[in-house]
Amino acid sequence: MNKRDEPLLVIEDLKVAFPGQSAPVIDGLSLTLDRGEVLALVGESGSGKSMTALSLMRLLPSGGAITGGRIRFDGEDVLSLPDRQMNRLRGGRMAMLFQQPQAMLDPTSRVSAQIAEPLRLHRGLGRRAAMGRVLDLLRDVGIPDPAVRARCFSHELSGGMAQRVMMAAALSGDPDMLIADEPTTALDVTVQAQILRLIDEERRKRNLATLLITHDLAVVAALADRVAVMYAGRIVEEGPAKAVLESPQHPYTQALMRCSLLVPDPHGQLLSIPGSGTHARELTCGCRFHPRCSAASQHGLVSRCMRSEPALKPDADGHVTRCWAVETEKETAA
Amino acid sequence: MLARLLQRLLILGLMLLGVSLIAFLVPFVSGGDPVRTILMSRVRDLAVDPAAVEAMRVHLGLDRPLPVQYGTWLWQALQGDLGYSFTSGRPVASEIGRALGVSVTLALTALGIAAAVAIPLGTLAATRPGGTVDSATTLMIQTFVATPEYWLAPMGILVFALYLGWLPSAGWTSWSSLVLPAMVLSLRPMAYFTQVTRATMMDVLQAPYITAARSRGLSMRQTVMRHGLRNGSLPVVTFFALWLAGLLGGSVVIEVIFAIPGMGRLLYEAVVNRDVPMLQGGFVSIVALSILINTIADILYVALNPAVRSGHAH
Repeated sequence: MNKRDEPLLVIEDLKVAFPGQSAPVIDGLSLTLDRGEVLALVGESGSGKSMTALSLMRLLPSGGAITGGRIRFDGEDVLSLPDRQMNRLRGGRMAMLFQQPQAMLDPTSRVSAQIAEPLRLHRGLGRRAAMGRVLDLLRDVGIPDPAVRARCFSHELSGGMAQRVMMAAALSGDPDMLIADEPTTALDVTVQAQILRLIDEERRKRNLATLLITHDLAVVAALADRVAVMYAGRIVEEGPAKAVLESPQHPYTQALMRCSLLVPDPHGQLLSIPGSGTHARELTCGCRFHPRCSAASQHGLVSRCMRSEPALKPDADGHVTRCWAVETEKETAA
Repeated sequence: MLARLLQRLLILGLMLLGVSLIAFLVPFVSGGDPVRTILMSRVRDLAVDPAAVEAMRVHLGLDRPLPVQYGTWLWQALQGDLGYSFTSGRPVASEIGRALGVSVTLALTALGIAAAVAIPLGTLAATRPGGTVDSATTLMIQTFVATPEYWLAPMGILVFALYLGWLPSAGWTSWSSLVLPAMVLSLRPMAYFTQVTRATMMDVLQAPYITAARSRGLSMRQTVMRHGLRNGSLPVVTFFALWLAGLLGGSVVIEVIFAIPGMGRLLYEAVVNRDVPMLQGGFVSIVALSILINTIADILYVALNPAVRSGHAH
């Protein structure tokens, strides 16, 4: 395929497993991300969102391994790259924000030194030039008094400040893709909006492809071009953000919408999905969601949902869903 | 910060006072009459003249009440005068000063060797747990911990001094006489330092900031050098200080085998000869020095760890 026609990031049939666990944590995940596009990856804890992000960077926690599939980034086969070239990709072409910004900063190293690393490694800047650039970056991410803050250690920063510093470090290598793994989950509500605005501004300015991992549908509505909903290590629904949020097809997405404060419940109640999230590593037959699914019983499909797993089926405008109930409905309508 | 420092100093002062009292009393509690011992060793006769004993007692000031003796001793000790050795007659303070110099040189060399081997080795072992280096390291640690110095030291002398003839077998004359005892002395702390570095580094390498550093494009090696070592070597600082304090008076076996005129041997001989002023002075000096070393280690620990520096210890 021509490098130009291909999206910046193509994930095909990715499988990630930890030895000793009965089922893979990611099972056959496929996604694409275009230059400048924002793709939101949504799902409960344990659905494999973070593992997907770490797989892209080839930084899975020890023991975890990519057991199948392909990842192509700007035409390069990420999974077969030698370590040296992979290091050049990390921080230089793809950068990452994490959930606990303070824990992500070395407690014994100054903020400036950590932001400067990609500059020196990937941009070949000398110590002095890098320090000048660090101050610019700190200013860009909205940190007042950059010269003072640059000399701080992580414990001297608030969570929001630390995430801004992480953002400066992520941007310093001038990447093409930003992976933001729940960048606001650990922050105060008032700070969350500021950080999201910062991410949105910077990715527009730099035409950054952004993989935004979140469980907050309000965030999706505000920032994302497309959404992929994950459940137990696989994608159950994917499509343009507007389409998915306005007419969610998969029962799980619908349930998520009902739980979200985005759509207020007419009776003023806070709702939750019955049962607990199936962790990807738990072995389940058929559709992973069927034990908690209301549609399965309504459509008299329980036996089918229990026996075999549905495939991702597209509708007209690139909105795909993995659900027997949706498929049956479409068939009867047609 | 200043209040904390002052409080710390006050506690140190009280501790030293307590230690000085114990140091002063121990030779008396241990029984036997030092005067009789000295005289017996001088005249080599079991039937010592009681008049001579009494005269000597008065001469040494041992006839006065204990509190008075303690007060005089403490007052003089504070001015740097620890009295005179019963056996050699030379000033205790200068004897101890010379012996401490020797022991500190020996201990620092041994611990320097230990740390220089242990930190890289422990780090290497931690980067690949269960790998070849790690398994070999574990074996080394167990061997070194289990090998007694009184066996290793003569073996070292046999091989390096007598058979190969590279190093002197004993004495304290040139730098070459430092090599063999320092090596023998370094093995045990080396094993412990390696163990500590390995364990700490295993934790550090799992830390989120290591993943974050890798995500910025640092190689594993660069990550360990820039973000691993500093965090991982913090506990070694504490262990280094503890061992240094321990080795100052505690390397008796090595000092006796290699005929090194250090603190261990000085105290050993003072015990054998019931040299009361030497025992008192030696004990107080070693404890005071240990406290000083540990205080320096605490300061160093804080200097290396900015989170502790501003009171944000986790």
